[in-house]
Amino acid sequence: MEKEKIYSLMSLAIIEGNQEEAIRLAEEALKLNLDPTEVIEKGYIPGIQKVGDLWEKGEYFLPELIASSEAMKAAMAILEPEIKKRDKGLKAKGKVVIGTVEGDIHDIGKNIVASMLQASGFEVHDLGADVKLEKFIDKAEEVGADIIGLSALLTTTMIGQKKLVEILKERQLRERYKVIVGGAPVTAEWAKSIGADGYAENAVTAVHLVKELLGQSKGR
Amino acid sequence: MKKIKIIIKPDNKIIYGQKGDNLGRLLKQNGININDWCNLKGICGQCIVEIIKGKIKEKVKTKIGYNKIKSRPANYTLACQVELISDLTINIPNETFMKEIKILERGLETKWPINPAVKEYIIKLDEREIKRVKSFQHYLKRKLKNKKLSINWQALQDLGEIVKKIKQENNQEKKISLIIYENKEILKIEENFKTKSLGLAIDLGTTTIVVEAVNLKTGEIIGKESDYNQQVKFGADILSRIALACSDKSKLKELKEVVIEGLNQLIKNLAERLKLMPEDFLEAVIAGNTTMNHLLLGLPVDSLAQAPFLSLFSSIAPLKAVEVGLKINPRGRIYLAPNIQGFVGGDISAGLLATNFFASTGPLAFIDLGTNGEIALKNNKHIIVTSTAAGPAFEGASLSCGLPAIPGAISRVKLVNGKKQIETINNLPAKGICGSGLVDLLAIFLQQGIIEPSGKIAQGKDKINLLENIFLTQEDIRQAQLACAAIKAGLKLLLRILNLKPHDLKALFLAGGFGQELSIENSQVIGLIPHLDLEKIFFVGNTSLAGASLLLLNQPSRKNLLSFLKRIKYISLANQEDFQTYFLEALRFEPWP
Repeated sequence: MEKEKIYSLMSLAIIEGNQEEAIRLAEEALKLNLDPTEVIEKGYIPGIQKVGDLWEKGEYFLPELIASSEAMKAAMAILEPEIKKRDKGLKAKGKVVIGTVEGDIHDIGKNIVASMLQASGFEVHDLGADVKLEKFIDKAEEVGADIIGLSALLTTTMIGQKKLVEILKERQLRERYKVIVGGAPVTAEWAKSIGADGYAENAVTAVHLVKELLGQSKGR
Repeated sequence: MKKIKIIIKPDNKIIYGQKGDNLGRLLKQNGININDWCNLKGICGQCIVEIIKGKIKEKVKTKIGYNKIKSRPANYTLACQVELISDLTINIPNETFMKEIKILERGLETKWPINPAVKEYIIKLDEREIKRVKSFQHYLKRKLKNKKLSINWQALQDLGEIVKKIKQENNQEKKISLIIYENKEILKIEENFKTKSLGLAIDLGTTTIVVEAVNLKTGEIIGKESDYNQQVKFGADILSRIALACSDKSKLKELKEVVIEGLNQLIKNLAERLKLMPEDFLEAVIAGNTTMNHLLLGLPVDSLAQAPFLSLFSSIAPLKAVEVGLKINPRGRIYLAPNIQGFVGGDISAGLLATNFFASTGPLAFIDLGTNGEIALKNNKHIIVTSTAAGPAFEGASLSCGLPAIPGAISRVKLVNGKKQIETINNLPAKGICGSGLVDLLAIFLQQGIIEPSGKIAQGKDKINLLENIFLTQEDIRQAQLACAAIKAGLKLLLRILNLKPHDLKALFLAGGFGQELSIENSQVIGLIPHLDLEKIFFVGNTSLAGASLLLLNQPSRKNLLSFLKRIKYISLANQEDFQTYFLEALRFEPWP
């Protein structure tokens, strides 16, 4: 099969959220000895970008978004070991530490953001829900993250986002990380008022935001 | 020992007892619901029976009780004073049975005996009898045959004034009335019988407050007032109020004051309309959610601000109206329906009581559809309950053209010969769409293929027009999907926990803001509720208020409720591993399997 044909099928598998097909195509690409880095860049990434577009048009909603990002992750899981084997090392576009702040146990929204970021090629460290603020920073230090993402679903737990920025300052690490915030009660104004670097309303804009903060956005 | 046979007219029901048994107790034990307000002490004079045939032994012909049957033939007596010595044939007059009320208009058949916490007893204070007792207090205790009876200093003042009058007027006897709370405390003593036996049932909601005036003797609802909870000005959702209350002590105080003022205004309005005084209400039973219960008492809510969302209290002893600041009778009492756990509060415990959820045989499900949707489920062993954030879409709040269920809101949409027929509340020109209208529209658009099951508007459109200036946007539909999925996923998960299938349910109670208009069929089309036979689904309306009335009119139900609550287990959905999967699946508009 032609390379281009496979790439467009990969893209389609992601758009349709067809995990089996996405895996099958990744395995086939390896059999055909295609360059796995190129496969991700030209086959799968255009698919997840299209999913983002469909979301923004209102045609896709959470189930579609999740299905697509799960398909994406499954395909990457097949390709990544091969990339490592070739020792070229697929350089992650950036590292993100993400979690829901302490006192808050809601994590569906955060999971979707994490999933989309990962599907878009970022290395994501998801700490889960009800995460102690210090733990975000410790993990970021440990993995050398670029971005710390904080989710809060309650008016009453948003304060954790503010506190984290303060702790970063205290530990003189504020300049080291970009801090992004999200969650139902969170707004751009809130993000600004607490001195965060950005706010995203949903998983797709979160991907845009992260790209922008890391200087990777191609201009939309 | 030889059995004693009792034939009860007019039904000729036969029960058996033994020599020495108390007739009143025996009747109760056999499920015959005679009135036992005074716990069979011969005080209230309610358990009247007519002895048609057979011999009896009467314990004591209590003056206070037997006064009630003075005018009747000699074969009338009080069942609680009868000791069995021979076979009997008796007749139980109608008025002897506990007066029962039906709390819910719809629902499983349940009736509740009237047996309020506040009771009035009328006695004769006879100075000639008083000579043989230690004090007036002892006299009253003995007269009412109630060793536990206490008297507070305000009631002692009343008593003092009355005794003073007796002395001055040189009377030997005087008829007085005692207002007694929970059969153990004298709240008030009167000689002029001014106090009316009235109470208030209150639904203290996040958004609205409803106050109902109830006659404690007859169970009759004599009036109702409702208004927005004035706290709304501090934020529509409960969490923004929690955040505010945590931010500053003065804000907590303000939140309390605002809700108390709102309640007092409603009580005042209600009293004026009924030509009564706020003082005529001797007790208020309040059913509110956990947060409102805290804010009403001015209690800090910091523990409710963060997981695991623990409340300070589950149940508390009745409070004095003056302590709370509620302007009913200053001697009156406030009873709060107990909280369950987390955000599942007294409104739900009252609601479950009103639907007889605890005592009925399961499996049963109860859903209170509000901004926070609460769901309870029981099989014959376990009762579980959860709360789920549905968002305000079904209350019309977050939609582009949304309205609460107020006049002019589109409440029903029907498809007649392929054309949409629109009904509005009070038949006023359509101003917007409320929850029940939304459910109809979604179902119709789904069936017509205008909306896909994924929620997407077909053919790439971003809006569906209904009338001029009334439409649904793609975003509106997404809001509805979220609301629907929260309920659907919550119920599905609870069903799984108890290993039940939807069709196992014997009944599904739908309570809350939807009103009676909601189409069951269309709710099933969009997947909000499972497919069950229509006769198994009950719209039970405001069960929080109904439960408050019940707790007001039937004191024993308070104790029952507490023992029911011991059996209930709270489930935190967010802590359930596969809630996310359930939730995402439930986002599709499709009927339950």
